[in-house]
Amino acid sequence: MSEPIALTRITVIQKDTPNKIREAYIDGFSEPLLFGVHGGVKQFYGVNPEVEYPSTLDHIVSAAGG
Amino acid sequence: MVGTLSGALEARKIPTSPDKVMAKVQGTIEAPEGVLKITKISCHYELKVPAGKSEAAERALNVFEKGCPVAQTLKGCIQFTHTWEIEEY
Repeated sequence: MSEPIALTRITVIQKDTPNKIREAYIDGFSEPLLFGVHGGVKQFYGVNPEVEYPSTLDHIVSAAGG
Repeated sequence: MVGTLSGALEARKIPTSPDKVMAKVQGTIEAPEGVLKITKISCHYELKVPAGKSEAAERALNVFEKGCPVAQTLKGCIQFTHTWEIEEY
């Protein structure tokens, strides 16, 4: 079995459950990514967060587009 | 994963924030056919739960992936593994 090309390590912390906010710290970078809900995802879960952030699904699509 | 797991824990009356649920996530990037791709993601959860709630937390940990939008999106493309530590307070 060959060695991986890279290992990406990330710490994810649940910060605010009512607002569905999580922070993700990517090794090597100090600023976190913030995940939350908005738009249709917010409606699907029936929540009304005080602050909206992109969902994890948005991040998948961003990564695909990037 | 953390968001869905937190929802599953809250449904079992286990508070999840602030900072009671954390995941150390590692993605393995390989190039099996000459193109980089993520082949595996391993998630290690560190949970702090009220005394007596460990079993309920384990039940959530064993099933939450089925309700995770990201896991269900990537299912079949990436191999996920889940491990955990639970600390009671």
